[in-house]
Amino acid sequence: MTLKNILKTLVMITGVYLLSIAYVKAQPPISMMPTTSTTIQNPNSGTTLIEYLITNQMKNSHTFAMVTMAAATQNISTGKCANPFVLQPQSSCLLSLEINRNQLSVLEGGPKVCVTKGPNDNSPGSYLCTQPSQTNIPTVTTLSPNFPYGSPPTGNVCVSTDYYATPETMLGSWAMIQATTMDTQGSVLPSFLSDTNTVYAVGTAALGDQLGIASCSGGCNQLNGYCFALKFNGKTPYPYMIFQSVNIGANPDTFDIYMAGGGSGAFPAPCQTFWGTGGAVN
Amino acid sequence: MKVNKVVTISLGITLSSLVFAGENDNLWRPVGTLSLSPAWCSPGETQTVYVQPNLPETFTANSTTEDFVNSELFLSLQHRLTPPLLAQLGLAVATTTTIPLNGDIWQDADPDFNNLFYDYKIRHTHLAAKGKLLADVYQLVQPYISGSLGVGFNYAYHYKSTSKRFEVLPEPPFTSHTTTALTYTLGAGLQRALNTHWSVGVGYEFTDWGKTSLGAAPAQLSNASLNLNHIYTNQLQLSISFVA
Repeated sequence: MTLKNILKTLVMITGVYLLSIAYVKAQPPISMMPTTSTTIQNPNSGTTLIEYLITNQMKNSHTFAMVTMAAATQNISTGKCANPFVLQPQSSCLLSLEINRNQLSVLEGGPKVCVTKGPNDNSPGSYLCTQPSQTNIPTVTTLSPNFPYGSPPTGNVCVSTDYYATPETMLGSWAMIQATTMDTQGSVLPSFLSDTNTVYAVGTAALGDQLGIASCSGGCNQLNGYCFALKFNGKTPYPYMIFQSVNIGANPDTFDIYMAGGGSGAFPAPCQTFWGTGGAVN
Repeated sequence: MKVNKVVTISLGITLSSLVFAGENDNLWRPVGTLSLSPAWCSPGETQTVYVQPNLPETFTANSTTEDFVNSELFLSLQHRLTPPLLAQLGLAVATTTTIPLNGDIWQDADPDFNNLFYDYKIRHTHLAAKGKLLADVYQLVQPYISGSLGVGFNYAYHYKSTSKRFEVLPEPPFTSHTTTALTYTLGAGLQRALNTHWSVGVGYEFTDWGKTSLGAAPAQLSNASLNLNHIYTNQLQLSISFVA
């Protein structure tokens, strides 16, 4: 290799190195890291709390404000980012958003934070505007009628082999039979649900994390009253269940289904009282 | 529109003068010279602009040499000052093709936040009083020098910023703006007569376009924008002249 070639190679390597440094060093002027789930489950109602830790990465102090966001209200209570909010270099605050689930159709993108227009105008300007990374902007997921959704039920389920404690147990209720029939006739249920394939049940939905509700992994009062459409994979008849959460305190990521005359949930001891101790009971 | 009117009136006056001169004084001969020139310049200039109070941004320019084309029509009267020296005095109108300018934006004037690209275009037109001195000493060619002084119209337009990252949003664009500026040219070259009326020439011409600036963005609280105090251009001037 000639001296000229060696020099040429050295210049190229130096150039690539300098370019890579320049590329790596570039970063958003403020970082927006989520501290809650950013997934919102649809359909539903009420609000979902989504929070981001906002950090000023610059060497100068600036005053910021969030651009008005459809379907979201900024929570400016104590401990959260105010509106506007001043951040010293490397300091942070928690941007707290309440997402209105009834307006999810107008929810677009993530929160945008900009430097305010000036000392006498605290509205968000058009400079240093930053939003969360693509993977951290709020996303809405919708339950599809194309089940399965979730995983097969597991846990302390008191089920007898003669199928006494199955979803059809619910059909033993006169109210249940009347409810599904009336709801079908009234077109309350989606078209793929009918009184010949659907039962109703109540229990506890411990899905707060999946639904973007903070501190609700094992279920919480915020979920009380929420309804879910469940499907029992591979089961016939009655593969579907309309399930309403009415309580708290199940194992995280589960549905605790209260079965009439059937299981006893997390307390299996009473099973013996109902069903004895024979081999047909487990 | 205003520029067009000025050019039209000026050319009209010049042409009237040429006709009048041609009819009444054989010592003043009208000359028309059309030139088409490959040209080049390196107009970029790194600068820091306060887009809002207490919010500086540095616009680093890509230091590339841009090629463009300059065309000029020079209408003049030619007079023999001394036996070997010819002078041409008249008006020149020139215009260029587009020159692109681009670079990076450092948010908060900090290279750690080199998060946006910017680009815009400029175009130049000028109307100038121009003089040309030709040495009629060689049979083969006539060396010449030239110079002009006039008013330039520097149009900066199509500014836009593009984000390099999803997280960073584009910034409001500076607006298009025409800056009227003092402009001058200096040139030298060789001209060869093809016959008693026609001649061709080749030369070098240096031009200072003067100041160019974009308009402030509507969202800005200040009037600050990107400015270039001078744009110096070089061109290889290829010309054809007709002497009446």
